[in-house]
Amino acid sequence: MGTRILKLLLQWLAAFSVLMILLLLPREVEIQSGPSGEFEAAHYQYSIAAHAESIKEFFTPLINGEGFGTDSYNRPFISHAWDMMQRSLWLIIPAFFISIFTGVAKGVFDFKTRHGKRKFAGLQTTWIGLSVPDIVFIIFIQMILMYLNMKGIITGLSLYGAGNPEAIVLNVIYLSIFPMFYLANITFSALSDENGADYIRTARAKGSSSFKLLYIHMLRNGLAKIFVHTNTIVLYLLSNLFVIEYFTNYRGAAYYFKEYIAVSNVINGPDSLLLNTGAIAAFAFFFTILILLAGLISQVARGFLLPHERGGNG
Amino acid sequence: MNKHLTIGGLMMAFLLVLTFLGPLLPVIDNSISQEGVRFTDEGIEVPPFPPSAEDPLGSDREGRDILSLIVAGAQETLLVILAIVLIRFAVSAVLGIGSYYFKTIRAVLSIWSQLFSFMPSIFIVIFFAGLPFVVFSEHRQIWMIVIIAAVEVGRTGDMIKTSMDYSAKKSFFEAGIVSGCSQWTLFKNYFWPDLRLTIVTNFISDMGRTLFLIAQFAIIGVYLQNAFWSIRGGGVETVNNSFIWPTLLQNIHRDVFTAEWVVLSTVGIITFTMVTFYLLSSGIRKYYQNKYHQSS
Repeated sequence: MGTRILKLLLQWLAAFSVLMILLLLPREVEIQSGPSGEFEAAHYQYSIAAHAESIKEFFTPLINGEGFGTDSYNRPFISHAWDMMQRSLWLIIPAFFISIFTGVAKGVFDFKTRHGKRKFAGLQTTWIGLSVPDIVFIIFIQMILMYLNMKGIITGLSLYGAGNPEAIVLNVIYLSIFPMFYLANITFSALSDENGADYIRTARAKGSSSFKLLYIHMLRNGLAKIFVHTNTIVLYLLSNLFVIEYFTNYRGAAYYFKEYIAVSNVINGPDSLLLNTGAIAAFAFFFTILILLAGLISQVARGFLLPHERGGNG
Repeated sequence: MNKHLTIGGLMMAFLLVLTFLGPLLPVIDNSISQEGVRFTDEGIEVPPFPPSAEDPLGSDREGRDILSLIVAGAQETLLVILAIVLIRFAVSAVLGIGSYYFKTIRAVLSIWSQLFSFMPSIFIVIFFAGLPFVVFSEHRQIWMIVIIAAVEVGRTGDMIKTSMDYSAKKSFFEAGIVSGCSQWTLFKNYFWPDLRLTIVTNFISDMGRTLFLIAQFAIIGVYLQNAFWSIRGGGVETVNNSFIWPTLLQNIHRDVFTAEWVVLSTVGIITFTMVTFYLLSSGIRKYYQNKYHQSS
């Protein structure tokens, strides 16, 4: 397990470095204007020298201990990014655990009800949840709440912005919808795979109860397969976070990261497409660390759960 | 009967009819004309107009008929997602299958998939979308298609590689080796039947996922295609100039309160398409499973 963790750390370092090199691509453009100042054409030329210069410009203050730089209010980017990340963690961490627990529970339920009429509540709903985009659920929840508000049944909810508990609760629900169905599907197929295995037949022949079979044997072994997907779950959470924070004006890390990473629509000079590299680097650092942590959790969990890894020398 | 395949096929047929025969319908305004104010008996109406006999699904903020926009955008939307997924699967098939045979290709694939696994693909695409040569390129749409295809090549390539490794571990494969099949026969008769199923079903379901990804971009204001509008005092503004469905969501923040028909019809048609792909994918999987495993 130790070497795997080391490998993961190295992978993170490599991926983060490549992201930084991409981020520091030179972005100055030459804009050609007509006689009355109107836009005619834009020219862009990549040169290795300019790229190296921009990398040097970025790293010199970093080595001098000035960090990623400061924003217009003189706040260091790294602490701004960390503050916003904390806001987003209020959504990500609960959504992560809720989607894992409800997802696995839903998968077990789907497995238990796979034959007969109850299939409609089990497999069929998972199926709908997977094929219908979660923005549909979000819009419907919002519209229902608005309708209830108009009818005066539930009033005074503040669904937009950050900092109010009801917005956090709703955003956590929005975030967990898709990963939950995704995990339910994974759990279901993991259980179906285990179902035919020899050790299950042996256990059944020896007269183990079906409860013990499902929860002790199959789920325990299935969980190892499920934990392989934690990285995917976190990636889904983060990319959905982005749309949800933007959609509900929840000003967290993903909201600001998007603000920094998307270029302006208005281009009026050679510097219009420049990005705030310091801010992006700070946010990217926290996002990649989060994904790295998810990977580490997944490795450790596998080490504990997988039967042949528990006893092995890893 | 294979319910998923039947329903999915019917829905796909409906989509194709909408795409190719839709423009011929009398209710469709193929010129996508804008409309300012409307004078009615009760007074003056300004866009967005709610659904009426004139605009069955209402109109957007520029007075353009939503139903016509959907029909006009159908062909481009389907082509764009088809192009993205085609490029993605062509590259990942080469990498995924190649990585079984060659160490170098295996290394390339693993670097590719690890590099992009530390950042959600949505961020990477936004980043590339803002690079100067992509913003100003005359072929921005092609660039964007290639970028969106590329960021997920690692994932699909890994999937193909896993399918190959899985087959290679089965005892029927050993039988093939023992009976002295050539590499080509091994590939054609032992790998390909399973691999084909993986590729075809994932190809179709990836089309649904890609449509959703593009919709997410539109919500946050990143478009596949740009036009440049001059602004007073110099400079330009980049604006969206394509009709693909997701771009109808660009005002979702305001529309969800005041013009919910725009959001509902766009999300409706996107959902319909995604469900179609999902049904087809799972239907095809069932079809092959029934064909090869008669017992189940």
